[in-house]
Order: sequence, then C-alpha cells, then structure tokens
Amino acid sequence: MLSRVADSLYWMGRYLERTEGTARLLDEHLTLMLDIVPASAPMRWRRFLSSLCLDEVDRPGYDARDITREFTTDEENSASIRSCIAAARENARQVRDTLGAEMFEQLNRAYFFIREASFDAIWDEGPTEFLRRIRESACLFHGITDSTFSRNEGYHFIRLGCYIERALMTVALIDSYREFYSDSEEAASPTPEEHLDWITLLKCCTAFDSYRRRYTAEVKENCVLEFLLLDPDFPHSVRFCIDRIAEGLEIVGQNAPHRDRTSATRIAARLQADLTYGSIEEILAENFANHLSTLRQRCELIHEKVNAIFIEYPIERELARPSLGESGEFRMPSGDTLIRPMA
Amino acid sequence: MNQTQTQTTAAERDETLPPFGNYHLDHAYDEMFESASVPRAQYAALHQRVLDLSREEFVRRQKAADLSFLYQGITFTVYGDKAGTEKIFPYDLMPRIITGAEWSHIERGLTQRITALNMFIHDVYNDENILKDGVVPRELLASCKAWRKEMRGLKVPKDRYIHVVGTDLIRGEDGGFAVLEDNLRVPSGVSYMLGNRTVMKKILPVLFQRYSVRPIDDYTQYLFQTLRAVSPRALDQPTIVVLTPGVHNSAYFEHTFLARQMGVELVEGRDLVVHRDHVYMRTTAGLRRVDVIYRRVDDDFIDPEVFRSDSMLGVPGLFRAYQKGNVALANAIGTGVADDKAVYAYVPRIIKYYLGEDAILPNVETFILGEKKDREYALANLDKLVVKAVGESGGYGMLIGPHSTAAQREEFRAAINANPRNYIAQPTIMLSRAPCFVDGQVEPRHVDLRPYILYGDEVKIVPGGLTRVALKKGSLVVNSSQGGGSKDTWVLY
Repeated sequence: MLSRVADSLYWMGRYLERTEGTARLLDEHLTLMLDIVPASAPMRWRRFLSSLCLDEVDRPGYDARDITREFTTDEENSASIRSCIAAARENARQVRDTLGAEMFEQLNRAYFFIREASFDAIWDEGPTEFLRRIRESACLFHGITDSTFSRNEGYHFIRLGCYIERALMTVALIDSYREFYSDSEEAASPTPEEHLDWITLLKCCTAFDSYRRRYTAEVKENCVLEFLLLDPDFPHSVRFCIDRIAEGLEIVGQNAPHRDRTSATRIAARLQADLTYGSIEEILAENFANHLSTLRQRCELIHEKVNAIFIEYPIERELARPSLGESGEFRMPSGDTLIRPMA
Repeated sequence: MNQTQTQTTAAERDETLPPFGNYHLDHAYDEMFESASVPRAQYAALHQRVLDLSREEFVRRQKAADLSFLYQGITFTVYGDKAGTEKIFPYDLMPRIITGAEWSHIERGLTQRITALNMFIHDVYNDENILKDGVVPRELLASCKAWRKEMRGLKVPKDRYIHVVGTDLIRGEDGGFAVLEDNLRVPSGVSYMLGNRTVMKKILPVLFQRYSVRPIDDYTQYLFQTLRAVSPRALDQPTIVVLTPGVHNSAYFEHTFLARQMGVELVEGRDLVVHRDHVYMRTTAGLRRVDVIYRRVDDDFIDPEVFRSDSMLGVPGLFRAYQKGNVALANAIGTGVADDKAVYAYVPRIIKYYLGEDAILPNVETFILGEKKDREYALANLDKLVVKAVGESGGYGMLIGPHSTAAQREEFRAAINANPRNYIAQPTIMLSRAPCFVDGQVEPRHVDLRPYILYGDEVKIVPGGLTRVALKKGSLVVNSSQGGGSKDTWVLY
C-alpha cells in the first residue's frame, strides 16, 4: 500500500473517531446541564473543553447555545464536528480509489448533511437529534467498512487511527475529571450532583450500561477508573484500544521489511503489558495525573513510530536494500544520484 | 444545484403544455424526430415513455439522479471558480440513442483513424517519411507546441503511442458523423460515460429494459489489458499505476474511479521515486518497482528535469527511466503533435498516406490561418466562422463568429495577425440536437459524441461514449467548464 494512502486512511480513522466522540461529549454535557444548578455550569463546560484538550483559555461566559454552535456547525473552529467530518472526507477523497464506493458515499452524505445544516434549526429542534444523526453517520461508516471492506493493510490503518484517537480521547476525558478524584483511600459517597457527573463520565464513553453489568449500579470512583482504563472487554477502555493497536501493528508490520518496525510493536506491547497486569489500586497510589500524562505520551509515541516506519521513512534506507537492484547487481548508492520525491 | 441554464421563469412556462410542446425543429439534424412529431424508429419507445410519465415524475427522477451523483462524489472542480468548488456534471435524463448500423460505421472510422495517427506519430519521431514525401509540411511540425524533440528515435513498447483516445464526433445537418477533434493526450470524461449508465439503470429501469442496449461495463477491464500490453517487463501482473496531479485537478474523480475500477494504485508524483533509471513507488512495505504509468499529467509537468522545471506534479528522472525502456507511459510523450488543431486538417491525407484508404469519418472543413489564402478568406468572414487557438482545449480561446460581438472579432483579428500559425478556422458547424429535459419540458439541445478508443494489442472501442450537451439554449459549446452537461449514450444491437 502507498505510504501516502496509509497516512490518509489513518487520519480518516482518527477524524471519524473524533467526530463521534465530540458528538457524544457534547450531547452528554448538554443533558447534564439540565440537571445541575446553573452556577456550576461553567465548571462543567471547562471540563468539556478540557476533555477535548481545548482548555488553554478561560472564557468570559459559558453559554450552551454558543458552545453548541462552536462545536457543531462552526467552520472556523477546527475542532467542530463540521471540521472533523470535512477533514475525514478530505482524507477519504485523497484515497477514494482505495475505499469501497459505499464507504465514500456514506462519508460524503455525512459531509453534505452537516454542510447544509442550519444551526438555528438544529438548536430549535433540540441538538440531541442532530448529534444522534452525526454519531449514526460515523457508526454507519464503520458498519459498512466492517461488512464490505477487505481486511487488508488499509483496513488496519483505518482501525489504528480510530483506536489511537479513542485511547487519547478516553485518557483526556478521565484527565478532565482530575478535580473530582479524592486524595484519600476512603472516598466519601458522592452527592447527587457528583453522582450525575460520574454517570456523565461513563456516558461520554458509552460505558454506563456496560459498567453496570460489570460493577452493578453503584458508581464508585475506583471502579469507574478501573473500567475506563483497564477493562479488557469494553471497546472504549484504554486497554481495549491498546490491545487493538498492538494487534494492528503486528499485522501491518508483517510487510515492513525493516528492523525498526519492532520499535513500534515494542512500545505498544509494553503499554499493553502495563495495562494488562497493572491494578487500579497501584495506579491510584501513584501520582494519578502523572500516570495519565505518561499514558498519553506513550500513545503519541506510537503515533510517531507509525509515521516514521510506514509513512515518512528515509528513502536512502530503502535504496540501500540490495533486493531493489536488477538481478542483484545493485550496489550501495554513491550518494550523488539519489533522487528524492518532491516534498 | 440547479442543473439547467434556461432563462425561462415559471410564469412564462405553460404548465398545461404537452411534454414536447416546446420542441421545434430547425435546420440542425434532430436525433429524435424525423419530422415534426414523428420520432425516428429507435426513439419511438423513449418518445412514448416520456408521454406516459408525468412532469412531476420526471422532475422527481431528475432530482434523484442529481443527488446520486452528488453523494457518489461524481463531481468536477471548476477552474477560476471559488477554490475547491465541486460541481456535479449536469446530467440529462433522456438517453441518446445510436443504432447498430450507425455504430459500426463509427467504429470502423475510428479504428482507421487511430491506426493511422499512431503510425504518423511513430513516423515523425523516427523516419520522417511523411515529411520527406511532402505530405505534411515540415515547418508545420516545427512550429507545433506539442512537438517533443526528446522523443526522436525513442523506442516505445509495441510502437504504441496513443493508448487511450477520446475523439470528438459531431453530426452535421445531413446526419453524417464527422470528426471535430482528436484528443490524443489525456482525454477525460470516460468515468462520466460509465457513471451515467449506472445512474440511468437505477432511475429509468423500465425504459432501459425496453431497449437492447450494448453494455459498456468492460471498459476498465480493457483499459487494464491495454496498459498491461505495453509493460516493459513481460509479467503476468506488472505493477500498473494511475498518475494524478492530485485532488485539486478537475478530473480527480475520474482518476480515482479508474484506479479503483482497475484495482491499481492511484499515485501522485510525490509517491514515486526514480533510482538508477527505474521507477519505484513508496509503499508501507518499502519501495516497489513500477512498470506502467497511466499518466493523467500533461507532458509539460511530468518530469521537471526535462520539461517544465517548476512542476511540482511530476517525477524527477521519470523521462530517463522512460528513455531506457524501464517504464511505459500511456499515453506516450509528445502525442499532442498529432492532435494539434493545425495538423488536424491533414488527417485525411495522413490516413491515405499510411493506409491507402479514404477516411471513413470525414473532417470538418478547416482553414489553416498560417496559410495566406485561408487566412485572407477567414479574416473576411470572421462573423461566419469558428476560430480556435490551436494550443487550447476545453472550449477556451474560441471565437464563435455568428454569436460574437464586433469587439470580440477585432480582438481575434489582431491576435490572428500577430500569430497566424496559432489559429485555425472552421465554418460554424451545426451540431445535431437531441431532446433534453429542461424545466419540466422536453427541449432540443445541441450534442456531440466522444467515444473512447483503446489501443494496446489491438484497437478496442466500447459501444457508445460520452454524449455532451450544450445545456444553454442555442449554445454550441458542450464543454463541462462552459456550462455543458452529458447524457447516457445507448448503442443498440
């Protein structure tokens, strides 16, 4: 597969995941605002922004309508759903010969849906309906992909993109709740409003139902964190994502002829081991904020390695491989004739 | 997404008018009607179907077709329009129908023409017999912009130069087909031909079934075989790629479409690297040798080391690999020498010279403005002639005499006098007219026909082609960049 194509598929996967995640976060936060006292809304909106890694600037006001506009139809905001879908589609457009026709059409429909959408109409009808359609668009794309697309390298690059983005989003979401975490071993029972916050955290990852089946309806901090970080079966847990990433790297790495492919699988496998054999008690006993930031760095390192191994590898290394020459007559290039592709 | 360009407003339109109430014949050949309200035999069923369907039903189906193109992303980019503007290529629901007899005449004519033009290109880059024998003047080629001196004596696989051709045919007032233009470089539009058929079968299945239409779906398979036939390495599965200028090119959809349909990689210049005169593509598994490039990048941009050095689209060193015979290009470099508008005038003589046959498909009468006699005639008759700049395509750089203003004519007069070799003139050709669905009414519009010819081991033409429509009432310009649309084209058995 062309490196450029692999890169576009990977980013398409990331942007789609981002689209779905943003829609869900926004929907859950709008719902949460209905239940809480207005005075505490800014704190929740700050948390929403922080979970999207957008918490640099403090805002003068936190108006639900403005924020919803900003993260749905706003073209100027590169983090809006519209921008994410446009970016996913643009990546898809660059590789549409690789995608199935139905896959592209689905993404294209989503793009035209949001491009034609009027924010006032979305707001008047209640944004939930709109956000549901956005989530469905992403789900539909994945469904079409699963049932029609060959499990080739391209498929695995799409999945790698999705799972890297999802892992990063889950980590950022957990991190955005940092003010909530108790310092003591024995946490006090949450207030009803705090309870809602915990439920929102779970719902932002579609985890509420699965959580209850696993731990019952009792929402406890360490159980929530254990579930979101370490659960082997839940598709949005960090461990689940890393497991899939490790598998994916193993598969796409099979074709890579060079030694450094092991560097990516090694990072993923070590992270996988930490998440498999770590316990939530251990993690919470350490500096939890540091732990999360290390997790994020390791995910980012995997991203960088994927890029360095499959996408932007140095041509010289490749040309030094003897198998490239005609009937074995190939010698090391003297350095004067290396032709590089245009940047 | 308004497809039509008509100026008619709802108030002017008579809702009670029958579907063909606005259909008036003039001296142009009419594809559908033999005489007022008597359809030709092959159009009878279509005519009846239009009468059977309600106006609302037609409008509904037209909308469904438009949306289908939009969602499938069958769009093109308009140059000079707002950056990144994607438009669907306006599509007219009513098919254009060609009889089996008409088609076999076209097929023979095109096969003859392509065979001769390929021999001509080989000759002018090698033995120059046709120049030595004085059939085509040497200075005509010397002044041709598309002439590539680098191609002299260069051996190409199987002596094939023009692997993919899109010849523009028109139908004169007598109904006879004639060649308007040979497109021997990187002709586009074949994806619309195939896309139109797919949509047609979904939108008007009953009508389609009533006719026995010859299928065109095997085009991409033939294209693949054509490309494989010229691979320098005799492999069962040579590595074939489609080279695109990128996502901003107006025909980008087509490039992706053809790559997908053939099951080959779509590459950009930056994906390719030349080392020791071999071409490789950058894959996730390292570099992989490329054998055949179906390039949709013009000669000028294909290799900055040899042609335009400012090209960001090409592949440095590609021409060296080509020269050494390590990679095949389709079409070959320098084929524009044979579709130059001035060379066009000589094509009937070229056919006679190489094949000893008269041209089956005639040319349109052409005045070569580089020649004194022709120029004097043309300058005296600018208001009756169509003047074309020889280096331009896509309907740009054209003067349509009868529709021009005095100021436009003076502008062209000055341009012709400054550089006469750059222009040809032709009588205003009355393109034939076919029924189109415009604003709830069937009206005649001018059409041409671009069949697609493949030339690998042998000449292969899928039955039909792209019928392009000038959707503006009375307009003779069918190019997509100038408000043209297209129709599905049915060739019957």
